Amino acid sequence: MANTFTLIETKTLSTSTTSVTFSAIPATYTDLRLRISARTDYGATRTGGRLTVNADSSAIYDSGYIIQYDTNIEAASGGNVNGTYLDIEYLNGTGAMANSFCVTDIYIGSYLDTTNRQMSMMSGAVSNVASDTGLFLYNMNYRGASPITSLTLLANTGNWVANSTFYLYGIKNS
Amino acid sequence: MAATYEPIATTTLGSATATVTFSSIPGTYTDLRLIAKVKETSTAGDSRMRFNGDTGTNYNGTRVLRSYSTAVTGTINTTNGLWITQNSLNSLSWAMIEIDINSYSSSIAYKTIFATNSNASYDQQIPQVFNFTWRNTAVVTSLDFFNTSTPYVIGSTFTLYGIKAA
Repeated sequence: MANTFTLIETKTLSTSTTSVTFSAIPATYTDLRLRISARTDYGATRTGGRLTVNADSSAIYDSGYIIQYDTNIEAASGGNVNGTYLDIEYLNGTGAMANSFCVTDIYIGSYLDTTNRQMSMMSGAVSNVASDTGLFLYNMNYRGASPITSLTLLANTGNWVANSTFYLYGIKNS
Repeated sequence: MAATYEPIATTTLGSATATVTFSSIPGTYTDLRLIAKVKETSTAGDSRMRFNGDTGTNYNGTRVLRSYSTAVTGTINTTNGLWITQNSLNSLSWAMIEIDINSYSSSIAYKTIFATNSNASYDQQIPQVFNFTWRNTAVVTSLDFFNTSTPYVIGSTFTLYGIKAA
């Protein structure tokens, strides 16, 4: 039986980079999985990023989240509707402990659909200071009318730093 | 390279269906992963997963979720299957469910399950995460997916993958 979890493309940054794009994503899979190990050069401990689909900045991105951060015990939550991109949080900034890259795992279901595309995201930033940590669980929906052919990742402010890595996998169900 | 992530079976519903079953699951993998794109016909009930047809009081776990603008956490002890959603999935948009079943082919360990449900739309945004144990050492050979009061709609898809550690 064929292996159905396939690496489509890897991007490992050799210099600071504003934007990372996976383009011409093949339409031969069922789902996509994006794994990110990254930090930014923004001058804060924790910061965030943005995911845009098909270079589409229309207000058709919806998301909800639950979060644990700092020393809070209870989870907090929130939602955003009709956004122009999807949030990626948390990411490490320059104030985070050295050599620490946040981990983000995004699963994109049925990316070839032409109605809503549901995504789940887990992302965490860990520090050696209790007030600098965070764990996010997002669910996200892109309501564009076309299959997903490109994904663009931006830091909210500043750049992705060198040695950040981005892996895009394709998953087939047959 | 050895194939380590393989589809075992996939089902796309041609009619509204109350229960989706994967039976005769081969014991040749290490873990299982289920990906589903589903919608339900009403907002009643909650979706559940049952192991080997077990309707006993053998499922317990924890949850963290956002339900209608409120964060909810807590423990769950259920009969007749473990929860994979709290409340029905939104009947207006498709939801995506991811479920990881660890060491399903072990005859020594209880089965641990990690499940997330992504159901974002412009009228509600409900991320949910569940961590469960099925308190049984039997090898998992069948899985049932059902809602406690409403069926899954036409076009819902369920795919079961097998993952090998070697």
